[in-house]
Amino acid sequence: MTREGSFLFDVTPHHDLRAPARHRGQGRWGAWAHLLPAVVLAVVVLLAPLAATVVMSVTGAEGPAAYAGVVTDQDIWPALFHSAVWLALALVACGLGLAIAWLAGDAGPRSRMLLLIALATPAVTSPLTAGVAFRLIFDADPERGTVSALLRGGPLLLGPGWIWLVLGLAFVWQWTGLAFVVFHVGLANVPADLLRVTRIFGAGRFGRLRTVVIPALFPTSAVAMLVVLTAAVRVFDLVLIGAPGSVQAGVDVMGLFWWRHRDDLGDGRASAMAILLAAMASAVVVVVLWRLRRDWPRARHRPGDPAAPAPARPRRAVRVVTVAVAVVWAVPFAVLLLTSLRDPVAAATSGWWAGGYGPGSYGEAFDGGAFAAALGATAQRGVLVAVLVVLPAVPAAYALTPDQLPPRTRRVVAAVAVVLAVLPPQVLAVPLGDVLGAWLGGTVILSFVHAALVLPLGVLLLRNAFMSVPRPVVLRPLAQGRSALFQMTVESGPAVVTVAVLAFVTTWNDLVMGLLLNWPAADQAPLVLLQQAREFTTSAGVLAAQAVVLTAVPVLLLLATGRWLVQGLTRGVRR
Amino acid sequence: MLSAVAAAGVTGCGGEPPLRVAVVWSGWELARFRDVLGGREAVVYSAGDNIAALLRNPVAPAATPDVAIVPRPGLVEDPAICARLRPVRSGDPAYWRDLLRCGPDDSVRGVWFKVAHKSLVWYRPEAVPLPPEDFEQWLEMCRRRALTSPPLAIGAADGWVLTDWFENVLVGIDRAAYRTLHEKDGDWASAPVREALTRLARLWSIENLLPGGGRRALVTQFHDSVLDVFRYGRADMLAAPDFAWPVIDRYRSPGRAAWRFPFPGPRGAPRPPVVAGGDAVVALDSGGERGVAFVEQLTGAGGIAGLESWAAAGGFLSLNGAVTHYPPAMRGLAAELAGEIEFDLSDRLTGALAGGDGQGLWQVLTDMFVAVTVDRTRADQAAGTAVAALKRLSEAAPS
Repeated sequence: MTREGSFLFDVTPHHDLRAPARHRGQGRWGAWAHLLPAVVLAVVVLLAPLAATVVMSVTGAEGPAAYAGVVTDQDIWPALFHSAVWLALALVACGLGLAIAWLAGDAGPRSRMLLLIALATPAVTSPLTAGVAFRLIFDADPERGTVSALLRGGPLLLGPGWIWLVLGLAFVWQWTGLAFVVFHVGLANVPADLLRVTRIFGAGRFGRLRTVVIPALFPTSAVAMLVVLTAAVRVFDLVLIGAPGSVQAGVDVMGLFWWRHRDDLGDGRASAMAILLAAMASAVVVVVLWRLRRDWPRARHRPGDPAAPAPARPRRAVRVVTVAVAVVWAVPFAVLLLTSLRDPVAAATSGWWAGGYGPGSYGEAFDGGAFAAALGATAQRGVLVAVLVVLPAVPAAYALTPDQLPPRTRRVVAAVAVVLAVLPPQVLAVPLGDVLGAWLGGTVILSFVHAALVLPLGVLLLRNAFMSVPRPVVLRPLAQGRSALFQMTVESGPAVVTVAVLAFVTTWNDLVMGLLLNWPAADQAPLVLLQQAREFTTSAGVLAAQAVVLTAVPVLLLLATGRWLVQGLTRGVRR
Repeated sequence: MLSAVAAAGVTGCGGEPPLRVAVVWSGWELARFRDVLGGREAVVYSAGDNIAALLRNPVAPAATPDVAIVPRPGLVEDPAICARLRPVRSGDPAYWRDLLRCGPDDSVRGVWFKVAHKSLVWYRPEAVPLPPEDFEQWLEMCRRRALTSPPLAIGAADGWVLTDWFENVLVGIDRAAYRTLHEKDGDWASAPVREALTRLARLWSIENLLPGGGRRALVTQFHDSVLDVFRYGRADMLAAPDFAWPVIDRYRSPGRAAWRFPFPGPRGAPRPPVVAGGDAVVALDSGGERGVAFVEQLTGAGGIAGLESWAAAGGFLSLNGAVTHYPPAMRGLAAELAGEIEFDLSDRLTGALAGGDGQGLWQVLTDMFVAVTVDRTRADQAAGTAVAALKRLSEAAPS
């Protein structure tokens, strides 16, 4: 923020309701004890393997020259560049979310709800599902692909070059919604008086956006961006299923390249490559989310304040555009659903408009019982992971509220959490496999790994919510020297639900960890899908059916908990 | 809930857990394999093209299966994998059995379960009245036909389709050279390799050879190319192994016939041997004696009924002479595989030349395919580039 901007910030009324005695009562040791379970999980599953990978990268056959070897390897350069492109796409998705939210601000409540559902649903589907849907839509054959049928003789959208458009669209389709959810609540709550003051001071539209709107959207927007950036760093399954084999080399990302070439690279270079990927991801989040190093501004909570503002009279044009956006966003799901409802032979040889409807694809999808068994195992793991994330994340987030640990410690812990949140699994997989090898046959150990990967984001989200708990609620226990953990958790119920849902959905959709660590014993449902996709066309019906089932679970969860999720995600929005 | 999960985690400790069988198939083929297993208790996983990574260097050692279907013998020769395999009794013909020997005692560590005949060209009889006698005739036929409509479909999105092309051409030119190439000091810059690549490039570079051109062929998978010929009738023929048959049979337009001719060799040369591939079943250390018994039972006399079930469904050839219930379109193929054959070269490669999508020989041939079909590079020039790339890869292979 510019100096002028911070001046404007300071003139806004700011009630300090902090408890007078800050570090009395249970004291700092108590705060550290709260942090302990999360720290243990993070150290054992994230930091120790990370350190081991760093050691491996400098003690391999070449020593530290492995890094030079990776950086100068002509074959790795494209993968490095592609990974950077994905990170840029993450920012595009966030920007688009902001733009649609800005637009929807003038739409009526009903169109806004429609948009919310249409845009947010893709965020809980697996990238594998997104890949299947977009490959169906962009199939090069005009008999089958929707787009190819419309543009007969047009470009080959799954071919080299154009494949970027398809994969990029799939990614943007998936993640714009999350940014939208956060921004549309945030925008509605931008202080109107502040906007008026800035206008009087002569700030233009862009100036107002920069000095008022964007700071006001912090830190919730930061969490949304963190989620999208993490998804960009971990892009893997989307490419694996979305691109035909012959063009995959042209869209390889670092994570995929590492997975394919780990053997020929040797331990030193493979580790160096994983570390470089992690470093690149950390660098991007640190630059983008620089403000996270500071204490986030406290939000004031006005009870009874509805999340959405009183709507202005919606303009017809805005409403039309909103509905159009919602419809466009629903197309991939519609194609997926229609394809799944067709007979396997019909789905393999013609497009959804050609008829041939019947339950055959679902029958084949569940044939043999393997898919059903995998769904069961995956669900079980998801629930266990949700529990394993919430239990340590709640006390850890509490320890990070201002009445507990000193500011500098909190800042360091928050920074570490942000970096850990974007860690690519490739950087952990080898040491984890070596150490946990003996027990990895059981799904329980794998669940701990999943839990540790979601934990940092969970802590950050919960901390946001805890910081916005109204002071009066926690003043009394704090003043009496007791812990306010219980009150804060109850007040932040939606955020706790959000973290649990996030953990479940991440685990449910996971492909990479299952593939790297425990495969095939993991019995992870997306793996069944991936194997099915070796001959994409003739598996189209079955793949679509399995993708629909795989998507139905998180979507139902989303619809059941949606209200809480919106609150939980946006609790930290400055009001 | 938690206790249920914990219980699921520890069932491995008590009693005899079902064997974990990793296979390379998915979809229809996987369902047929389950039929073959019948009532045997086993957990079957599909590992697909990535089975090599699973066997060679599993990130988690405990993730190794007890029994695995290995899609190429090159994997068995890999010392890291061989050390994990148990010797098994095999009733395969000597040539085949020797492909699966490894280790200090050179013992047989696998049995062929499903073998493939890769020297076939499937065609629509109404479009190809007279099958070609040799490669030159075939080239001429394609050239003439291409003036009106595309004669061939190639599933270039799958790298193995292109390597099969290369192998069939090379084995016809120089069988002896073909035999040495999989060895560590194989000469990839030799005249026969260059000649094979040039012939291939010459055929592929024919204008209007493929429906939609080279660009579209690159996103056409093997099954898509079958559809192109037998469903949509956009092309007349495709070079494809025996396991194309169930795909043709299921997806062809009603009433459309599918015939086959052997992959043509060079003019004046003796008829080339059949290029064969196959999936072998191996027992890993983790499965103990049970794994070995499972392998021997699956492929031995006791398993005939199971093998017959897949053979009758099509797309399955067995070296076991007792299996006879093949569909009419596949008759005689199993017998050819017990005769004059050369094993699939790309499946025996190790080091930098091996590998799937984006790697080794697959990528070199894909690049050459792009060069002649999309970029319109001259055939000999594209072949020269490919030879240089292959030479570089063969020298990069760790010794």
